[in-house]
Amino acid sequence: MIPGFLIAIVTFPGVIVHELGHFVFCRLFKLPILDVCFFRVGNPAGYVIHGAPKNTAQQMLITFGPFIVNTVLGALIAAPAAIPVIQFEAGRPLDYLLIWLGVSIAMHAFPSTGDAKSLWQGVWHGEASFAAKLLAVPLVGIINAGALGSMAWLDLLYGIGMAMLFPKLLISLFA
Amino acid sequence: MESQLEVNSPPQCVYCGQPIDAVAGGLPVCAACLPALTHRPLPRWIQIAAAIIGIVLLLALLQFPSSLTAGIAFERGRRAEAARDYKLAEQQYAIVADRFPSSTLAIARLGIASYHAGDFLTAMKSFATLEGRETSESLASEVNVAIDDMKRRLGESINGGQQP
Repeated sequence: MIPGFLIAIVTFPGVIVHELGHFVFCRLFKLPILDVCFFRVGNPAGYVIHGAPKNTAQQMLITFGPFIVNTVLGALIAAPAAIPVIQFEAGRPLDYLLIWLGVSIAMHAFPSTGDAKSLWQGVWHGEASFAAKLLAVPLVGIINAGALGSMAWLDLLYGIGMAMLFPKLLISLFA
Repeated sequence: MESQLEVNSPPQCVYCGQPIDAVAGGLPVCAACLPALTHRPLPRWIQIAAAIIGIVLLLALLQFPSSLTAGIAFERGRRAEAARDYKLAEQQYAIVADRFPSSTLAIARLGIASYHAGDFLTAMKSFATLEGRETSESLASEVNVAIDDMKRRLGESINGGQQP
């Protein structure tokens, strides 16, 4: 089993983009950010400590913002290189760099267990509606299942999948 | 990871240490420190890292259209080959081989489609560039069958031409 900190070091751009996602959404909602760490060798590899969001929508976007940002950015960076490398076995060094960067970013899309805890606290201990509280239950469950799956390289599979799926989708759409 | 700070007593600004009367923005922060925290700037190194990622994204997006065009052409070539429209398959594979001249798969498929389309010159040229390259057994076998058949047919036509 490869230690988590080694994976974080190898895929550090993904950690930075993930925390940047939290940071940008906090800034967007004008929430006070008490402390932020974009990358470090430790557990967690990065974090953003912020004030309470004003409503459930803000809480959801802060929690799932990095999922969207990392997935889209990772796919856009890796996809153009995935075609020559995976389909045609004709990759240049730049293509391999793009794939490493794209997969690193996409594999850190999953919200962490810390994100799940924050979502749970924000919704269940805040003034959220009952529907929002109900919605939070499966979402937190999915996040925790994803974190568990990361032990079986689910995050890496997701990153590679995004790099491959996006161009395949476009090709089958336009061919 | 993101987390919300839980507010505990005694009320003291966690940023500057000054005593406070009320909790602002869900954090034990004094009113003077709150604007600085809501407008916390990005560290310089993160700005640089974001700029680098932006440049790489731009590079990736610049090469995306030509890669995607080749990927689409390959798929169209594959479908045309399955429909036995070898002329169209040859045209489509030529686009791929032009974009990725080091791709064994693209050149081999171009050669095979050209052979089936009766364009032996392009087929021979394509197969000649494959010499010494490693590929899957099935693809190598397809290429070899095409080469043998072209040699046989060319030989027959040459011998046929020499006959009185």
